Amino acid sequence: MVRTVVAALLAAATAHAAGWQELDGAPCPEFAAGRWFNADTPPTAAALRGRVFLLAFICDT
Amino acid sequence: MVYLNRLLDQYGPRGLRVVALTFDEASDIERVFVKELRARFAIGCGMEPETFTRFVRPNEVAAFPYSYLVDTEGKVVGHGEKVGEELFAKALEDFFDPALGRELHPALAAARASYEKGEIGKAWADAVKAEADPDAALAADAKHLRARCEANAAFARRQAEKRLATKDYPAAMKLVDELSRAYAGMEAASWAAAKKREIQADPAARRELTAWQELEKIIEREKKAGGDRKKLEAVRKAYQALVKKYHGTGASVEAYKRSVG
Repeated sequence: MVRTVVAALLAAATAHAAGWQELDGAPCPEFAAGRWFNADTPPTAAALRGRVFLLAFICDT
Repeated sequence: MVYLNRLLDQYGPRGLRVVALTFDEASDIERVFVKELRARFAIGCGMEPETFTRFVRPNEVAAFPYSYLVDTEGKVVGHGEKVGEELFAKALEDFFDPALGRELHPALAAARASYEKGEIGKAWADAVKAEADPDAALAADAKHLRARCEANAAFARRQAEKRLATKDYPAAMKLVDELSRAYAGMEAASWAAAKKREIQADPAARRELTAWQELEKIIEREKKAGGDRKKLEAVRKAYQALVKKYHGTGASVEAYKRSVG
């Protein structure tokens, strides 16, 4: 029973991860947000050309 | 999210930028990330749904956190569930010159601090002076530091040369500006200054740069347009006008994609 539950949870977790596009080698899509912290001007994929950058999708929970 | 601050500490001085996006409210992010966790990376709150749909497969659920590593050409080179340095360690090592790799003589503390802040030219100048010191241990560490600075400069210069070879002038300009600043006093900075003058004197390069500047303004207009159909139509026309005006440039290709996308 425990194994079944664990397997179901793992499957759910895998499904969630699979939702993200792989995008390997593709141009980084443009992004936008309503309000920015720690940025003088809103960063964009176009403005960051010439820089290596990490784009992280986060939540506070 | 302390991982992101750590990534900035390690690779920020050598050029890495970190951008975080969230659906969360600005008030929550300010309280948790900015005030409590002292995040130093850019955080965009109230992410636009259109942004999210560009990164997630249709009708699928995606769990947070997730991150993408993007190279200097704007292409995704890595992605994964964690946002820690482990996930991108190999790719980051490929992009950025490895750190010093060993402890240095205490007399080189200031030089080391300069190196870690990205003031490579300053660290190099200090190392060159210390290399003549009669203390053999100090001289050996200074030699090591000088070599690291020079390797770093060579690496940065190769990145700029690649952009120049492909006529990617916007990226090349950013890199030569960075070279001039970070490697001041070194041969790489002189090379960068000369390349900048060449770019500025080249009409084709100037045209490309101007085209990208205009394109970025239109992209901003598109973002501000929201769902306003009239404004979006005006933006589409602006893209088309740019395609005609700057035909043959990389910016016109990008503008064309955006006008039909």
